[in-house]
Amino acid sequence: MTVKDVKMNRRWGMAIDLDKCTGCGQCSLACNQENNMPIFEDDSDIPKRVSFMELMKVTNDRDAKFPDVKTAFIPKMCQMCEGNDPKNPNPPCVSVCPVVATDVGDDGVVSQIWSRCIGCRYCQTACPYEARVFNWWKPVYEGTFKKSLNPEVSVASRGTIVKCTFCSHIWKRERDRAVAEGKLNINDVTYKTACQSACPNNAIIFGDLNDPESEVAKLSKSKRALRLANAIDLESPEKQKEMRKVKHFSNPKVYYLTSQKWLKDMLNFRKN
Amino acid sequence: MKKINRKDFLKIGGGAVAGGVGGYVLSGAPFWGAQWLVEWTQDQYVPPKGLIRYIDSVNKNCPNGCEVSVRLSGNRAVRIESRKEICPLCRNTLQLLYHPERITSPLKRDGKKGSGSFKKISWDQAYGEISGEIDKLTGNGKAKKIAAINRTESLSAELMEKFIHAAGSRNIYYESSRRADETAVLGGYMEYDFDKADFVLSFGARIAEHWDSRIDLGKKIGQWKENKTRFIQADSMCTRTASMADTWLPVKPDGETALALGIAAYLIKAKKKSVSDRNFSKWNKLIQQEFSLSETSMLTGIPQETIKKTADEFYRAKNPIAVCGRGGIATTASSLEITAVYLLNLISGTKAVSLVRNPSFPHAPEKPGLENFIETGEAELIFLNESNPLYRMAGADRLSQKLENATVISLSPIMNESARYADYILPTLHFLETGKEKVTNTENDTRDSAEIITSMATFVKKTAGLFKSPAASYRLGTKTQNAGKKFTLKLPESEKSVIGIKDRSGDAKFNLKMIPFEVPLVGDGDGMAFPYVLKSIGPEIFYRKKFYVHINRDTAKREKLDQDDCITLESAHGKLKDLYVNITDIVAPGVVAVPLGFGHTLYTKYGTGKGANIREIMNKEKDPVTGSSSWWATPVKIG
Repeated sequence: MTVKDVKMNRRWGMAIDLDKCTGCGQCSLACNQENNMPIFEDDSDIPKRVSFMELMKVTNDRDAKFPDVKTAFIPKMCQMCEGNDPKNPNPPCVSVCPVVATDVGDDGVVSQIWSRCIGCRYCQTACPYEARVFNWWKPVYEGTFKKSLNPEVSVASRGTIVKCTFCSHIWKRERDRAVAEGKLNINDVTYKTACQSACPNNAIIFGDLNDPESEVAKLSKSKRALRLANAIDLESPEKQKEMRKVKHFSNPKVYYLTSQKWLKDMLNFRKN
Repeated sequence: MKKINRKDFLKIGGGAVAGGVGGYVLSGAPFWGAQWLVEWTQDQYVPPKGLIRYIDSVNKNCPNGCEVSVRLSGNRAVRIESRKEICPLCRNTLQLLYHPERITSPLKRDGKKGSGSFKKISWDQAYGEISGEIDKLTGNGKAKKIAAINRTESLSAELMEKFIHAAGSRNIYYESSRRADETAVLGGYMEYDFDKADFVLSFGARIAEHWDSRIDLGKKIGQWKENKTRFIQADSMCTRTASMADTWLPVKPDGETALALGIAAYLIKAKKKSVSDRNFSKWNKLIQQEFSLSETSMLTGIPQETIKKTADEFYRAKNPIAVCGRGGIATTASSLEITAVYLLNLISGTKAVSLVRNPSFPHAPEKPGLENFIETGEAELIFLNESNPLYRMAGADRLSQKLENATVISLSPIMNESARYADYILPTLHFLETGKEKVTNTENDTRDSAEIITSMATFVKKTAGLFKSPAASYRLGTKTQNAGKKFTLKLPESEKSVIGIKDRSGDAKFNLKMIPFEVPLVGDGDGMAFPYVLKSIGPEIFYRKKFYVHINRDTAKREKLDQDDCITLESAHGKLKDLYVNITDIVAPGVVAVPLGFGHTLYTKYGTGKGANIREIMNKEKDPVTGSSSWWATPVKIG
C-alpha cells in the first residue's frame, strides 16, 4: 500500500465560539507568523492590508443605544465554501480562476497557489466573504525580519492573491512525519491550525466534519452554530432544497457559535 | 511516385501545422510556459530550508513566566508555539528577536542629552563608568539619590530591587502597578483566587482585556459561565469584558469608586457589618452620610434597586470577589477605591481574596508612587529597567527635566522615548538567546538583563558580593506571604478625598470626560513596534493614518460633530491634535474614549508617529496615599 492508494475521508472544518472570544488577537499573530505575512511600515490602509485573518470588532450600536449595546470580536478567514453539493464542491472563487491557481482538495480545503496566480482578482470579486487579499506591493521583510520566515509557506509576491488555507502545510508536515514512521493511512493524520493552537480561550476548534464524534462536527450541529451570511441556513430543509435548485449558495465549512441574538442577526446581515 | 501537387502540399503542410499546434496545446507546454513566465516575473523570495526541530524556553522576564516551544528551521526561529497559554508579547516575540532596529551593542551618549546621538562602547567600559558613578554617589553619602524605574514585576525587576537596596537606596518604582498602589494603601495587595469565586464584581477591571497582565482570565470567564459564577462588570464603556459579563452596570464616567462606597455603606448598614479598625466608626459615619443609596444612584447613574440587588447578591454569595484596578494591562485606582473594594471583600468574609506580600517585591520606596517621584523625588542616577516612563506616565515634561539632570542608564532592546535621554544604553538579550539551547543572533553584542544587573553589582564596591551565583541560576520569586488584615484609612486626608470624588469635574468649561480603552495586541504601547500587531488594528481605531476617538451619538449631536470630523481634545494639561471622530454608542454620553498605546514619538519606524498619546493630557494630580495619579476620567473639552 502507498499513501496514494488511500482515499481521503476527512473534511476539515472549523467552529469559532464567539461567546468565548475575548479579542486578544493571538490567533491573528500566530497566523501572520505561520504564513509569512508581508511587513509594511504602515498597515492602516485596511482594504489593501495583506493578512489571512481579520479580527473584526463588531457592535450592535446601529440598532441599539447606550447602554443596550454589546461588542464582540469575529475572527474572519477563508470560510472554505463547498457550494450546494458537498460531494462535488464548487466554491464561488474556484470556478472563476482562469489559471487553476485555486482549487478544492479532496479534504475540502480550498487551496491557493500564489505562484500560479496571475493577479486577475476574479476570485477576490467572487468571494462572498472578502477573505481573499491582493498583494498590491512587493512584500518586504526588512533586514533580520527575513530570518523568521517559515520555509513551509512560499512567500507571495506582488500582483498575487493570497488567502487562508487552513494551514494545510502543517497537515503535509504531519503526513510526512506519519509516513516516515510507516503509517501510510493519511486518514490517521490530524493537525492543528496556527490560530487554533494559539487561542488561549479554546474558542477556535478545528477538525473533521465527516467524523460525527469530532468536537467540530458536534459543535457544527449545535443550536448556537451558524454560518456567516449564509441565509439559506435559516430556512426549512424543504425550502433549502427548492432554493438550491435555483441558486448557488456558498455553504461554508466555518461555523460561528453564539447564543447572542444580536450577533446571530449580524452574522446574517439582519436587523435586530 | 505520385507527384505532389500544390493542393497536396498545402494539405500536408496544413496537417503538420495543425498537428504541431494540437500537440503543443495537449502537451501542457502553454500552461507550464505561462506558469514559468508568471514565476519569473514574480521575483519570489525563497526562505532557506533547514532541519525542523523544537526547543523549549521560559521567558523569565515576563510577569507570567511564559513557557514557549520554538520551532526552528536550521538555526532560525520561525514560529512560537506553546502547550500552555502565553501572553501576546511572548507570542509575538520573534518580531522582537529579529527586529531590524534592535540595539546591537552598549551605547554611550555622544552629544547633548536627548539629542539621540550615541557612540558604541564595550561592556567593560560601560560597567566601569556606571559603577564609578554609583561609587561616587555612595561614597559621598548620596546613595539615596540612586533610583530605578521597572516596567513590571519580573526577574530583572526583582534583581534590580536587590541591587538598588544593597547600594543603599529604596527608590524603586514601577510603571502603573496595581500591586505597588495597593501595598501603599493596605500594606499588601489583593490576591484573587478566581477558581474559588462564585460571584465576581469588577469595578472597571477589564478582565478580558489582559487585566493585570494576566493570561488566564479569558478562559476563566468561560469557566464562570459553565460554573454559574455570576460576573458583574461596572464600566462607562461597553468593552468586551462588559459584553462578556452576566450583567453590565453602565456607570457614569468615574462612578466606580462611588459605586463601591455605596455598596459598602449599604451592606454595613443593612447587614450590620463591622470591621475592627480604629478609624472604622468615623469612616463609616462619613460614607453613610455621603453615599446613601439615593446619593450613590445619582453619582453613578445606576438605579437604586440595581445597586441594592447587586449588593445583596454579593453579600449572599459564598466566596465573592470584588476586583479593583480600572483598565486592562495598565490599571489605575485611587486609595479610596482600593480601600472601598478591600472593605467589600473583608465584610463578605470571602475565602477567594487574600491580602498578600511578595518579599521579592517589597514595594516600599521612600515615598510611594512613580508620579510622586516624578514630582518631588531627587535622583542623580536613574536606571530605566525595560521601562519607558516618558511615554507611559502622565507628567512627561517634569520627568524629562529629571532625566536631563541625572545620569540615566537604560536597559532596553530597542530605542524609545526615555532611552533617548540615557547616558548609557545597555541592550538586553532576547530570552531565546539565552540558556543551553538557544537561538543566536551572532552579530549582536547584547546581554541578558539579569546578567547585566548581576555583573554591574560586582563592579560596584558596595554590592560586589551581592550576587554570588551566576545570573542564569536566578528564578522569579513567586512565594507570597500573608500580609494580615490591615484595614485602615488615614482620615484627615481621606475625608476631603471622599467628598472630593463627588465632584471631580473641576473647571466647568471641560464638559466631557476622557477615558482610555485597550486595543488588541497594542496593549500599553509595547506592541506598536511590531508589524504583525499593526495588522490587527481595526478600522474603528486607526484607518489610513487617521486616529479615531469614540464619542456617543447624543454627545456628538450636542457638540455638532459628524463622523470623521477632525478635532482637538483639550484638558487642563494640554491638547491632543488631529483626532478623528468615530460616533458610536458603545461609550456613555459625555465620554470621549481614546485608544491607549498610540502616539509614540520614538519607538522604531513601525510605532513612531501613529495616532496620539492619551497620557499627554491625562490627570496628573497624584493620590495622597499611593502617590500615583488616578488618570481615569480626565475632564476635557473639544477645541
